[in-house]
Amino acid sequence: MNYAYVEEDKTEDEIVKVTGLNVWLRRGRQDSHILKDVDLAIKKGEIVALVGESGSGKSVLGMTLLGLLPRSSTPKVDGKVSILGSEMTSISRKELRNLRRHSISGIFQDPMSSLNPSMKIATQMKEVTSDLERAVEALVQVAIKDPKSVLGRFPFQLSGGQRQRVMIAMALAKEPALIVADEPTTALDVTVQAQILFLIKQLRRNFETGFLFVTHDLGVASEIADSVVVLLAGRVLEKGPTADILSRPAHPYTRELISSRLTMDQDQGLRLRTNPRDQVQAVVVDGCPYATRCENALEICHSQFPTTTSVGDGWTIACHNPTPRSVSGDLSLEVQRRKVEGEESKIVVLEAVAIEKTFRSRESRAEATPVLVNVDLELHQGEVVSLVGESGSGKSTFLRILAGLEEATSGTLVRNDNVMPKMVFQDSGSSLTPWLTVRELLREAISAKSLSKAEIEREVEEVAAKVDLSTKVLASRAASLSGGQRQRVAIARCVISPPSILLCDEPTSALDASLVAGTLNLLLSLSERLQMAMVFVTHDLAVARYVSSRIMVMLGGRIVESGDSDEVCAKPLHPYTRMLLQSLPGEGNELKASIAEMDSELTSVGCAFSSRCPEAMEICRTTPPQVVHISRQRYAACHLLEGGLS
Amino acid sequence: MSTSIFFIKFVAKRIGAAIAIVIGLTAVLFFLQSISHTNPVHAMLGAGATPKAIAAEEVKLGLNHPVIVQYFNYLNGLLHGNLGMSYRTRRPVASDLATYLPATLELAFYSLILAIVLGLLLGVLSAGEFKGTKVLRFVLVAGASTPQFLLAIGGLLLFYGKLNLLPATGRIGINNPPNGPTGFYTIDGLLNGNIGVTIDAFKYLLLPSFSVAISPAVSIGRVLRGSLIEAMGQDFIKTANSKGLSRFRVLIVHALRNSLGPALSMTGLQAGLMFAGVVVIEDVFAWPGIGYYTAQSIPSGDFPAIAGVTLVLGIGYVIINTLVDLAQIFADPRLRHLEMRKSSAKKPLSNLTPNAI
Repeated sequence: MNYAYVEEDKTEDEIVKVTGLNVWLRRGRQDSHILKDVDLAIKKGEIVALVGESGSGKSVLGMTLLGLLPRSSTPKVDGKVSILGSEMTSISRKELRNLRRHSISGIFQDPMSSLNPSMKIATQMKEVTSDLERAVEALVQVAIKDPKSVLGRFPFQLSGGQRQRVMIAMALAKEPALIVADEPTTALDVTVQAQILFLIKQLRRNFETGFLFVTHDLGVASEIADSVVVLLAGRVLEKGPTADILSRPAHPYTRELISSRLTMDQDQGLRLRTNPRDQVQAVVVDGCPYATRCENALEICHSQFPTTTSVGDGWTIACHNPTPRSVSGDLSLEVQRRKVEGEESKIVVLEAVAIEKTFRSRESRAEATPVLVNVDLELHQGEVVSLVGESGSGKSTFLRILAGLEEATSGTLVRNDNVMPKMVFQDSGSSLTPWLTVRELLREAISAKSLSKAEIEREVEEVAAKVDLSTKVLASRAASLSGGQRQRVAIARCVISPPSILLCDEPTSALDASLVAGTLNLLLSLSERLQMAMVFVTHDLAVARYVSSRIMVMLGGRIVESGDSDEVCAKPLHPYTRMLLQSLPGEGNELKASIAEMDSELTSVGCAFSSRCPEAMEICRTTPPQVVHISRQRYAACHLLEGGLS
Repeated sequence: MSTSIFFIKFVAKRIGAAIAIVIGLTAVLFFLQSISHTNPVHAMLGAGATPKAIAAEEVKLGLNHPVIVQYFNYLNGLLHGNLGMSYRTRRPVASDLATYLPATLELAFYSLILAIVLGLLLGVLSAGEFKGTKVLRFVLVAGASTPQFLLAIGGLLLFYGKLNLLPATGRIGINNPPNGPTGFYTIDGLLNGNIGVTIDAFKYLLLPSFSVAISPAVSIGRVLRGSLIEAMGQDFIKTANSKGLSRFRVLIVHALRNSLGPALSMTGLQAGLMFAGVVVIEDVFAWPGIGYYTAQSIPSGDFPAIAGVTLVLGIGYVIINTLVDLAQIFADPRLRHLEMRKSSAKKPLSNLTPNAI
């Protein structure tokens, strides 16, 4: 009895206490064990980040806390989940509804789809609080500038960032004790992400709300969380204070997660570290789920999951053989030199001059929206150029024009050969026909028609070797491949008849960190070996900096800055580039967000950045700035530069 | 605001399109009539008419003009409510229709309502996995798989023959039913303060309208169930649930409105098919509607009557589908704004969100 009392006392501040949680969901026709013996506690006002790769069960844990496991997958829950003293496993439907009504909320990944599209914001807010004043207040708290007008709008009339803030406003309007945020910033631009993270931290401070923050991005976790829980295949591998774990990770898996993160100080001359065992896809039943990929794995790791041991204050790991060594040296990962050559001498494979694109509205001829304004690009053989910018900046449209998928309104496009550029898409998994085998998929990608059957087969085998696909994979259907394999097949399809230009549209943004490295290495080595030029569209400056020799920053359909990737990142000329760099999570920037910045839309007259620019002058709002060249490839368009370069 | 102007424009456009379709229909009907082998003069005057009488009748019917002129005369007649003379009844087709049409409209109206109600019930209950849905589904699907006339006869045998609960044939059992303003006995009864008429009329309506409604109800219900289940998997349903709303509210307020589109289209289609169903059912129940009228007109080659019925049914079909189009715009604000902007008209609905770049 005494023991129980002590336990009670210690947990006074705890709003969530999960012990020995097991969850089974029906997938296909089998029950699969999604969460295994998970322990977790969230205190008042604490932000706990739940980190893991896709399929680790992190979202399932979030949904379990909300009692929102999909009924169609007949969830079985075992263990204790207590929220504010209520047992979620034995609670009645009505009590659960009451709990959701008053004390717990959720924010979900995609702000585009998590608001009811056919309902005005006011109606949706009213479901949380019948008091309109409170609704307005909540919107003000999430920095919505004009709450009254937002209330009268439909979700599709708001920007992505606004929608996510409305979601947060709905979640906090009832002043809940706990908010489960399931990847709330993944679908947003970096600058908006920085705003949202800033906002969540502020709300936590003001309302003492506890957060379970589900994310795959350690950088985001490092920005926001007080403590981190690392999940793999439903098992908690490491758990503890954020600062400790990120600086001195104790579990080998956490170490891999941290080292595979692409940061701004990554050496461009080196290949990225990859875990050579990454392709091993083994089903782990009893052992440690990381055992098949782990450098330190012992015999026992494969058969028995380790017990939890404490390595510090409130810091535990589950590992048989952590062998703490320094972060950088212990992983004998493959590190190769990457060639960086001078690009100037090479032939120009693609030249785009003054490309413009306007989407004309059908209703009135006069009203046309410019999507691209005077965009130039010169691409040399074997060169990699990145296009960086937020959604709506026109970077994907430009890429589609380069690929010939869309026609420019004006401007010239010259290629030095007749081979159409190939394109790697963001979601490679869905760009493969699921019921065809890899061999069939590769075969149909061969463009030369005159090959004999044997020659085709040889080509297929060759390209499979180039992208590291085993012959076993060639026979399997696309639907049964892992994420990394699918990406490889998609790339193989592009290079089987090597094009001189490869266009990549965010090829890594849907991938787990461990797969990003492998994909980037593959793309770069292919580009070197086949002398392919690449245009790489990304929203991630760290990826752009590593991958390319030249970065072009796009905003509102114009190129606002261009230059050598190191120079752009180290000495940005345009204030927008500076803001992008400052918004990168996990780079030690103090996240700042001003209320004024949040609701400003892009302006079509003047400089597109003028409404958000801290240094904006009168002229910025009226006249679009001219491009100022430092050298041929180093230029920026900003009024601040026109007076001369300092 | 420009919103109201937009609506007026949109409604005008749809009505314009509907009128164009109806004019097309009249052209087809007219030229079919002019190439058919029935000679209206012979049909009117009989075989023994004198050449002089025939010539006089031709002038009277306007057959001495070129075909194009005849067509415009026909259109002009239509505008004035003149559908021609029936060869069989020797009365204007328009006045024949005025006699028979209300009965059909009443039957079709209640059948449609019943189909929508049953379809909604079936769709919502089966998507929400409520108890007892399986029984309802079994009954409705079984009903829909049975041919309509069989269903009607079976219903008659059971409810009239065995149980004697419902009347067998006709529209009403009361003598001298009201000659009321709408021609719907159920409504006229109320308007004339004679509730007995309304009740009696409903008794007569029950079996025929069920027979007509079951198959469209199942079609509507299935489509609705599919789109509801899809909607229930969406993120905003997760949001609604996390707000602590009741299951009923989540289903009806959040999911239903966002899944009405396909069900509405299906309703429009089924309403058109329903007219065909009504014609058959009227024969079984001796319902004095246009189905009954058509069934008598066809053997006697009464082309003006058949054309008149076809035209009326065609107009009905066009009206219902125009209404469905308008209803869809009202049900889905995205569609409304999409139509308004038109700039993104090239993209499908799912692309409304700006591409995550």
